Amino acid sequence: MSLLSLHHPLSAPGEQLRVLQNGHKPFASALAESGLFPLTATGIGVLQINVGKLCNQTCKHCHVDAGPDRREIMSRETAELCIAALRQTSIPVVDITGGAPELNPHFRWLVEQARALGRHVMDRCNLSVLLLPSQADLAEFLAEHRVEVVASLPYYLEQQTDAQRGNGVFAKSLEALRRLNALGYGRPDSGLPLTLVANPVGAFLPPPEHALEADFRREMERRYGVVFNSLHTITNMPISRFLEFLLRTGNYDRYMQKLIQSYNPAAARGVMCRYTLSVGWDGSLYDCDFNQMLDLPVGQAAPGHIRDFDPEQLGQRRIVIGQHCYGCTAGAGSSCGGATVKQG
Amino acid sequence: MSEREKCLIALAVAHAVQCPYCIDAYTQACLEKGSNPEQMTEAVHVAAAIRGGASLVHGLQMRNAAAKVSM
Repeated sequence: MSLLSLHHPLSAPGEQLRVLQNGHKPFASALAESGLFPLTATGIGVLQINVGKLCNQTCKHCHVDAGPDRREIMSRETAELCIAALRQTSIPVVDITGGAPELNPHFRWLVEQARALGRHVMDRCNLSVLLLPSQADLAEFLAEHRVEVVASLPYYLEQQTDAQRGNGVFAKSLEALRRLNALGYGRPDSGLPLTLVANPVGAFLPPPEHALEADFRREMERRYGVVFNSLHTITNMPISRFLEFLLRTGNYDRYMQKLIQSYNPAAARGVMCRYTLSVGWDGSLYDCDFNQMLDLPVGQAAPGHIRDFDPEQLGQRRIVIGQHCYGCTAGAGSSCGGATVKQG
Repeated sequence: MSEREKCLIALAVAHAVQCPYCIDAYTQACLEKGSNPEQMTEAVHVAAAIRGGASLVHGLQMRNAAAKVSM
């Protein structure tokens, strides 16, 4: 169940922010020391649309607190506003996320419209959704529209994956990956990119992206005959369910210290909020999906809703920051596109 | 060798020299390089086998010393 359904205090963004503001070096100071304060956007290269919090899984680290019990979902009217905003600009990438975005009844319409505008569309897919009876033709739909599938898989073994994402999820994920592979996803030159996203199964930083990609490539093919194009690593953000895990297990202070000690100015320069605009299920605008879940909208100088979309103002807005931002600047950095400091 | 493999060696050595700080540090480091607890346990087994093997072969010293003073 979600923290919200459990009436957990940490389901409130204000309580999460209160915990995060306790005692550690302010993120603004770290940015200032590396000459990056105030952090500003460098344009809008990605429109990330969060179409709702409904999900068929309840992962232990989920920063959205998504689950089958969540009902917040983007309406057709708001989805139309997103397409209208895209039509005004040449934003090249549309990144659709959730929850399980495919469970939004307007997901396929959104994909079709964005593709008709010639934009690259990414579906942040939990894989198991492909096996739901209501989604039996989803894989074919994604392939037909040349949608990049960005699939969550924390580890190449069942024990670790199920520990984070729920019992039976690894087996379902494998079946979904095989289905995608059969359609051409993950195969070189098919034009159907399959990207895996791995995040640590615990209170530690992710491995170097290139090394983990090599491990995954070898093990996924050898053990299961599954192929993919690339792998992204993402650091677990100390908010929502992962924050609850950190506090419950006594790992919070150590994890925050680790993030702060690992602050990397090069990673800070490349954070995704500088080139991403995040749209919430109700059309509100945010600098990133994490700020969205913490109820931290874009600064007041920029329009706050997709109906008032203004690419010029939003493309040079000042980014709203907080202590959770250390999650994106630790080590090789972290973003929806994986590490922000890529290594050979 | 990869960083992950070097970390596994460090973890095994940490157990061989029984350094509690090193064990904590390299447990975390191994996880952060992508190893899983089964691989880390395997590394500890290697350390244990080497330590156990070394103890066993020192038995020869005992046998030789005993033989020297025995009829």
